[in-house]
Amino acid sequence: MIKLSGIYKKFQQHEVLKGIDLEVKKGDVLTIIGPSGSGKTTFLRCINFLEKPDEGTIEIGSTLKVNAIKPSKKDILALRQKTAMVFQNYNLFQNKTVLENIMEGLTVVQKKSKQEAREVAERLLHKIGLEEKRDAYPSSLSGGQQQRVGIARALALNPEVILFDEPTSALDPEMVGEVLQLMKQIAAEGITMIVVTHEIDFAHEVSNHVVFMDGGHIVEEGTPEEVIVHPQKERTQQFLKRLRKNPEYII
Amino acid sequence: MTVFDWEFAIDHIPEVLKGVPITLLIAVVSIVIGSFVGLFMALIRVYRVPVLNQMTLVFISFIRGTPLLVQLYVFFYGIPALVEAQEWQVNPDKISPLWYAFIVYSMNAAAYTAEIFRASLNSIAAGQLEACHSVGMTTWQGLRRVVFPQMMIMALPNMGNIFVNLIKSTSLAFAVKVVEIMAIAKMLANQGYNFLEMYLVAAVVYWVICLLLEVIFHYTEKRLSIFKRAVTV
Repeated sequence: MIKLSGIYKKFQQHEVLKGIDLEVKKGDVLTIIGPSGSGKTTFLRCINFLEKPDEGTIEIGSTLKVNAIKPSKKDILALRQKTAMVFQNYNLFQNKTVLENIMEGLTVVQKKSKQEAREVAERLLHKIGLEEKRDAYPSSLSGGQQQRVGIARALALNPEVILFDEPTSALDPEMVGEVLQLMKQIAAEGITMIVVTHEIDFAHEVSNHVVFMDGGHIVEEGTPEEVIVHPQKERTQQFLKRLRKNPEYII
Repeated sequence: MTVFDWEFAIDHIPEVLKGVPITLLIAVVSIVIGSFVGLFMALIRVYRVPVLNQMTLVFISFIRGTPLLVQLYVFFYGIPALVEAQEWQVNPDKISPLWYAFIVYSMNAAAYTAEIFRASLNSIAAGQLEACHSVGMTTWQGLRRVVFPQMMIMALPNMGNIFVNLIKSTSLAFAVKVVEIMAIAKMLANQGYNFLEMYLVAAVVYWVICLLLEVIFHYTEKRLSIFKRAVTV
């Protein structure tokens, strides 16, 4: 269970998050949609303190509750150890091989033995179908392959929740499918996911909880049926209509 | 008498080579100390640590803006004066001139490497450290395991240049009585006014050292940067 309450964040004078409350249950696949600049990525990054919120509390499980006003280093570390993140630009460790990328968190943070970490990493490589790339460096992989490794790196940590920050936005269109397919597969396994995305179809099909954000607020939330198919608020309808706009010209 | 006494030059090469260890010692000690201090200063600059950042800026500007020879003299005369003023239980005349060389050359190496490390750090995507944080590493773990290794490789070509410059500039150390290649060459030349011969010998010795170092750096760089090579299968 993850509970976020009263999250505020300002960049200089610009208020990006104006009080966000959100609850995510275990096994939920939550997607956050909304126009650019609505604060969805900032909000996601606040969950693991890559961005420090100005105010608010973050609760993960029953044991960890972090107040954003004066968080201890220990709390931030604990928060990050219970979460994992998949980045828009993959951010694989450039100086480590695919296998080492997946093992890194296990050996350095979770203090698992090399042997144990290697077993986990190899199992995940099999799952993402990149066994033949185990000793390759990230720079030699395609974007889609890198992102699949990024997902494996997150999965390896066995976190309470995986945060996805627009995981397909930087990919060539033909590689989007393989990444979404993998995300769909892990969603089906009951892993808690929070996904910031522009892929409305993914949000519709895979998630069970959709949040529409605009201007630093949550405008509407509910099941995909409620938010994407039958949105109540005008702002949501507008946004979705623009996304689904039929072509104005037919050539 | 010929214009250039080949025999004299060739006969005295082994003498001059005796200065090589000292030259290398000064350069290696300075680059090692300088790199640690330089890395520390680079981090101060990148994270803009208040006060220390300004102090680092002044230090770098001073070192880069004053001649090495002047710095050597300042320490050569400054440290004994300080020792006397503070009435420390050290005899300034007993301080080995090597210490002045170590101090000054290390400071120089630090100032120049700091700027190189800073540029390398800035060119590593912020996302690398964020990724470390996201898997639960501390900042220090992330720097040590992911950022520094990438920074070192990026800095390597420039570090090679600094090291070669350092080797060459050790020829000034004889001004503070360090007996290295240049000092030996000069002393031998003095005996019979064979300056041209001995300076040429010294030049060749420096050249060979620098050539070898360039080769070594080139191969280290190649070996270490395998991760940058995109292997298309």
